[in-house]
Amino acid sequence: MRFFCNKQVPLDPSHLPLTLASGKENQCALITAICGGWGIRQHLNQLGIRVGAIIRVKREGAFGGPVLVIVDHSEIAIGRQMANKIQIQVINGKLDKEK
Amino acid sequence: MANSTKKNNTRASIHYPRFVLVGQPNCGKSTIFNKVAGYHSIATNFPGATVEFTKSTVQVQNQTCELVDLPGIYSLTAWDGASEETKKYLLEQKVDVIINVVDASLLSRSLELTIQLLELETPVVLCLNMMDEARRKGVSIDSVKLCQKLGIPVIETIGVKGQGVDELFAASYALSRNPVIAKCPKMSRHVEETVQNLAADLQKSTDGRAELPLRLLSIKLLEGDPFFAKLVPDIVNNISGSIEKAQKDLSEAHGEPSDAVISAERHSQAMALFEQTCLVQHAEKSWKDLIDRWIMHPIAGYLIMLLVLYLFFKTVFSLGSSVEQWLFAGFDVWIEQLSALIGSNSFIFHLASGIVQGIAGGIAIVLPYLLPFLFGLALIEDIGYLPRVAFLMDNVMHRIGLHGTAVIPGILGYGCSVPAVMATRILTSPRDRFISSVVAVLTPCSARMTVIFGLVGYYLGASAALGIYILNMFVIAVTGSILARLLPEDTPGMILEIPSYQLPSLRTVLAKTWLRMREFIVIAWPLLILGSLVLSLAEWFSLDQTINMIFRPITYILGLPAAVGSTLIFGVLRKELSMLMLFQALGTTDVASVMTSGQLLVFTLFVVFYMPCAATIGVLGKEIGWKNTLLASLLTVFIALVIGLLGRILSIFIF
Repeated sequence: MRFFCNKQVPLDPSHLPLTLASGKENQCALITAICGGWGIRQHLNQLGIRVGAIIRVKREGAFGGPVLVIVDHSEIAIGRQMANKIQIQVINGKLDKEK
Repeated sequence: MANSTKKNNTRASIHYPRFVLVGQPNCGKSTIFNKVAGYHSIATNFPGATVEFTKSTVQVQNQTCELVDLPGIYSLTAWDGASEETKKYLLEQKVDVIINVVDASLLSRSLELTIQLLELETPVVLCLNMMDEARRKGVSIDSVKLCQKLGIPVIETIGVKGQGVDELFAASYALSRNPVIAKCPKMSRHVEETVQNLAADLQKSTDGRAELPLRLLSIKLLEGDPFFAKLVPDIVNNISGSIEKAQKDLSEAHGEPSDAVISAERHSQAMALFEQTCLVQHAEKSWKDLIDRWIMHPIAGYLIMLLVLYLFFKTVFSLGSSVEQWLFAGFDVWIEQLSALIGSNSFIFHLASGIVQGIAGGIAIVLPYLLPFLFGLALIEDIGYLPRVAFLMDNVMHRIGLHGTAVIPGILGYGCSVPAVMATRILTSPRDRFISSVVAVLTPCSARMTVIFGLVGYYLGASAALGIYILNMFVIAVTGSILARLLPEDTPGMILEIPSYQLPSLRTVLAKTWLRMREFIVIAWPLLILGSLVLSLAEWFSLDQTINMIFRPITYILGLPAAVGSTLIFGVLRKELSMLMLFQALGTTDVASVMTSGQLLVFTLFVVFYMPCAATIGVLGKEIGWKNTLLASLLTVFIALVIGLLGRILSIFIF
């Protein structure tokens, strides 16, 4: 059994939701959707990357490299392709690491 | 289940209490294991699988207990091979106490695993490890309150320093004598009801004879975990209707797929526990962040990585070669004395020199390089540098159709192809696993390193040896990208935790080195001595001529002396054997007197690339299937022939 993201992604690029791939260093963001199958969702979930989680981008990967995010004190590297499937909402202002 | 009963029967009639260390990756399980386990601990394979775990007997309050260290898991829902084995072990083997080791600085996430372990209905001890790290990150934990909330013993430890480890095992022993199964924390009302209703249905359909805890099974079926569905196919078929209905109920009521509902629920349970028992304040600035700023820097990071790898190989080479020269001189004198004593043409001399050559090969060539190499690799692994290399290499690996995580099997491949092929289990897609298995096999392992250093490095210089390594990387990149083009697939890419740096404990590093070292001493070395003896006898009976004839096509193409043909067979048993047998086949340890520099280069190149060794073939077969293994092996022979031929042409111009 497989579930897919239930949010329709509009084709007009100006309406495309922000994804983690576009996250900037030190930005904080709320994860709003994860587009992927059962396995990927479970995998990300176990590492704390879940819808509703607040993450901080520690490093944008150079030259198409992975994004490094901090969630609950742990650091997770997420490949660019995967990061493109994680929709985020940027939280204004730089949150402190501990919040 | 059949497995577990068989295991228990073969065990001696005395049953030692069995403690199992379970925790998320990098929580310091192995450090705690090595603190108490002696050097007699052994690495064993899971029944029917190639993933290793270590076990040992330990003394707790003068009682003998069995301690097992399982591979790290994030959750009981497995998404890769290694964690699946841990899960199977927990479900199928008899376990007296689960010691749940937790990185205290990551408590909220770790508690999600703890909650699932409670569902196994086995006594659990919670070990809050790395308390110093938690304090540094500003997390203070009220362990007494945590203990009351969970209803299980909670012990604070600092594994590296050994603090609290005695208390941990005392508590585990006490629990094994007086087992208490804690209640699982309740979920929110609707979810809890759904779980309990399904558990009741399961109860009915199994007549209360279920082999698995019903709550666990019910939750996992709601999550749609295919592993559990396969575990109890009859039950699932019987009540598939009520499972589907319950899943639909959950997803309709909460607006999310049922697995997301359950994981959100578990997350909020863990968060609630965390918030009730912990206080989070400001973290201290640490040297670790400062170091990472440079090590993971988009430019400096790569330079540091090259420097680390260069220093590593340089140290191994200079340590190894200085000892090798000194030891070799000794053995040569020995053989000369032997031939003077019994006459170099007698049968007994052939026997004796075969054995001496075998012993000499092990001590003088393999050990001097293998020991520092394995020690260094264990050190780099334990510090936590490998995931950082994976992070840096992700974009490079994409060029060859893989992603950063695949670098880890590659690097482990420099140690030994066997664990490297096993490590491909951290990749989720079968296609990624196939390509990275091929990459791991092509990577020169430490056995091939001894050939590279012992022949090319020794006779042609260190820069030539380095040249082979660089050539090898190039060949790997080309092979990888060709395979990736042939097998196009959209894979999820890298999802990898970057653990914080650890000060490695010498004991763990030594134990790791020893475990890998022992494999050479116990298995490969006797094989080496035996092989040396067999070759010596074959020579006496002139059988080696026949073998050499069979290999003549290969040796002819590569322009090698016919006598090296028989050594190639031994190379399939163990890679370093091909070099040691070369000494035996040519009858001298000074190869340069018999072979030209060009021939030495071609021989080494061929040995580096051709055919994985027997042990690797075995693991490959299990990991990627026998058909793919055959394919991969033929591919390596083809590559070896091409590279060997190129080497031959090149050497005409150089030498």
